[in-house]
Amino acid sequence: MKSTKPTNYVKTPFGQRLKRDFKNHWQMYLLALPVIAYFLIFSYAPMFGVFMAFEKYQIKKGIFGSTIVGLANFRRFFMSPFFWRLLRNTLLISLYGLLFSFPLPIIFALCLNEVRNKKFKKTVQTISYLPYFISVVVVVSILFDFGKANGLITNIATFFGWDGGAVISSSKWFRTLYIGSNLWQHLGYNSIIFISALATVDPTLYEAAKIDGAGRWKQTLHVTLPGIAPTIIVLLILRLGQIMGVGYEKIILMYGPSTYETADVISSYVYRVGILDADYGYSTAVNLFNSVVNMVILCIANFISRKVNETSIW
Amino acid sequence: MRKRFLSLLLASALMTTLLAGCGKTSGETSGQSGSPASTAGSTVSSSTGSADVSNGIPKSDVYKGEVNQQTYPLSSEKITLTYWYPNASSMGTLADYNDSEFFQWLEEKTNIHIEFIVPASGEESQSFKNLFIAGDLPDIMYTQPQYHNYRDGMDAAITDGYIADISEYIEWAPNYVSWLNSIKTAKQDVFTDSGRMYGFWSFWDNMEGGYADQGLSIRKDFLDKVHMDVPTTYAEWETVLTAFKDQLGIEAPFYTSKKGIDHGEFMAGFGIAPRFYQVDGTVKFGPMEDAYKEYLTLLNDWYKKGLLDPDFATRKSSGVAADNDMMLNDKVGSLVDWGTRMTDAYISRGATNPEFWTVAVPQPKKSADAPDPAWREVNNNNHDIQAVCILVNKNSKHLEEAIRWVDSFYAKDVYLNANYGIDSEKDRVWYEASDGHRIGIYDFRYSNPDGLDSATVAAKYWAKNPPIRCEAAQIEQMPAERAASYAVWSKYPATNYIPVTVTMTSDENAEYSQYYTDLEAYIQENEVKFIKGERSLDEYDAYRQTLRDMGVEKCIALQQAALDRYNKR
Repeated sequence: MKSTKPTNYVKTPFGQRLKRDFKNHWQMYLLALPVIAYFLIFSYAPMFGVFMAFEKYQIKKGIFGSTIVGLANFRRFFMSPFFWRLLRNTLLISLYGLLFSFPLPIIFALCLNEVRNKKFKKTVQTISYLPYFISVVVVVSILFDFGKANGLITNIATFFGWDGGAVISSSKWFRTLYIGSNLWQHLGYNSIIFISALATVDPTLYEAAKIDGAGRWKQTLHVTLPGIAPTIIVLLILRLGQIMGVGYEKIILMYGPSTYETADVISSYVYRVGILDADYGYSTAVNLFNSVVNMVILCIANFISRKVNETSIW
Repeated sequence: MRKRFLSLLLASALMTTLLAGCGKTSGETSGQSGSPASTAGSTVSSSTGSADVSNGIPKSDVYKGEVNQQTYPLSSEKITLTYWYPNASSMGTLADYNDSEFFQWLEEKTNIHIEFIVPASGEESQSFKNLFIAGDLPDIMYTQPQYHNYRDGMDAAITDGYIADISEYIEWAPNYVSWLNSIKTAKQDVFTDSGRMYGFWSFWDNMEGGYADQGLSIRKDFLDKVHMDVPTTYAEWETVLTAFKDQLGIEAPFYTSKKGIDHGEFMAGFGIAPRFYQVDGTVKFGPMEDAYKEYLTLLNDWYKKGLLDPDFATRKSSGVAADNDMMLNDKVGSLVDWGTRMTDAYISRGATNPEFWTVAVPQPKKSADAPDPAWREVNNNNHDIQAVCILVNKNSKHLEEAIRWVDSFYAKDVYLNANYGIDSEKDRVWYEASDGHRIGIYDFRYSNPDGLDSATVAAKYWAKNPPIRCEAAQIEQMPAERAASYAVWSKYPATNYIPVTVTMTSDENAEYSQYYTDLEAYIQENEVKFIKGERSLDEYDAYRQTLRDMGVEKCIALQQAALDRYNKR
């Protein structure tokens, strides 16, 4: 999208250009306004809060009055006995999640794409994304019921030789249950974007491939996949950007002292020390660390993708 | 694509409200901090008054609120006070505490309307902390100090200008003063180390030393079925629980909370307590003691034998009392329960088994001739003090009315109504004994003519745990075999626990919680593992070393310092 400037281009001041642009396209600005306001109010303004990471924050004294302690909060976190465990759990839950819940919706979309019966296709699609609309609280209570000492999942696991009792309270099972239920809930919904990307692949390419003697499999490999590759890569990079951002909501519903070992992630730890224990300075520091690591991962992923694929988000 | 910024912003999203809230709070407080007790004809000026009071308690000629010294109505025009009242689980089917007959009566008497703020059950502690962030503190707050606390300690809550130091306004609280005059330990318990009063503490009426309202209980009908007596030693317990499991197929012969350990009742026979406790003025920490390992070994053994709830680690409740559903459907053999929740309460809530009958069990001992355990977990209510403290917002627009309203609860005419039901409900909700004192009508509560369950009756006709509790007559109302539980639980001396009125300084608090939050999480996690056998008890010494590395000794030292100061008060 790079525009080449004409050599005789005289640059008008930014202010003037903006004014003219606004005059010509004020409807566009109006449309964008709520979004801009949203990010300013809910994303940029609260950023002042990161000061708290460097303070011994006290509610009474507020952000500007609390004692500044430099990097003490960060030091405390790095020295914490939980540091490595939190980092490991956060990364593992994310990576396993990526490993299973990223490719599967694509495969699902590809399979569905091959189905020729329109009615069947629509039915499967609808059913597959229904679980998306179930509240996570409900999903977790279903898990608790199935994961009890004599629940369905425990019984199945016991049949295959598991002898550790209720799976829901076993740290060995936590990731499986967490990611498995996520997959069940989001598979159909996440495949929608790929299904729509598939619809944009030029049908003439398939015809050409057929004439060249490509079968279904070869067509998928050489036409369909390259066709939706940009979508896949952009989504993948976005996913990598959230790799440290395992949400606390489902975790705190599911975990307990018996599963802290594998379940406690940075965000749930921040919730515990920040919200439950009111240790705001420290929890801000922990979360800030989380965000910085996250950003670094995102940049690296984007960089690699740009080099390898020439597709990137910036 | 602003994704990289977004992720950074996520960090601060948590703080959105803080930023807005804090600025507002500091502004408000600085604006009002100079408006002390200069209204209403005060006998002592606020500056010298607080100093006087900290040295002692003003004299009162009235004995324990016999005569109400407030004049009613408290306010000439109708005002509304907000009351943070974390008792959602005690509401029964009531939608609002204003539907309670007692509170309606009180509103009429005081001309003060109360807007109850009832946080969701289980979120009370979090909700309390959020009150300070929101910068919009309710006028009055009902707190249980071990759960609801200001992060830097209650002394700091006064210094920071949130909570009223009652000693400055003591002339507005004559009824409370009349009680303080008659409570032996008042001086030690109601003042902080710096001589301030951060709230109205609750007392027992007519019950020296308080009583235990929760303790171990067991299904008597199950015991009868397996032809056994109430167990007294750990060995007998094991026999009984095994019989429950093998002969009756009970799912959870012994029910524990999701932490796996009890509040001290069951482990007391080992001479230990769950967390901090004292032996002759020395603070100890349960998990660091050798006996604690023995206790966990026992639980681990029982877990393997199926005598504990196999799903204990997934139970939502972390406090006393089993899942209602499990209790009502005969899945629990024994548990730690509230006295008021036993037998008839369960029947009124729909227990399906007509023979349902729970009785109190004494705390088990290692052998029949061992001395009685020196522990009872009774809401920390040794002495005459209950662990309920009502705070008043220093910046309340109606500070005087709020204090006077709370003080009303200490006058006899009010607390009798709060405990038994209002005057006009005589002979329906309560009756008068021959010597004139009130006794609640048992059948009204447990076989209510309107078909209400016992919890709803309590919420509708009384105030939940009012500042003065007259439990004696409530126990009196019970049939003998029901009331017996209180005697069983209350016989234990409560010498080993650390009083809830012990306070730390703001700095101590900050240091303590920095260590203790992580410690508590680590301990809970490992205790469950030890019980379930996921971590071998051979590693207990390594585990204790980890606790030391995490600063457990520092925490013990801080508790010790606070206790020493308390003892010197």
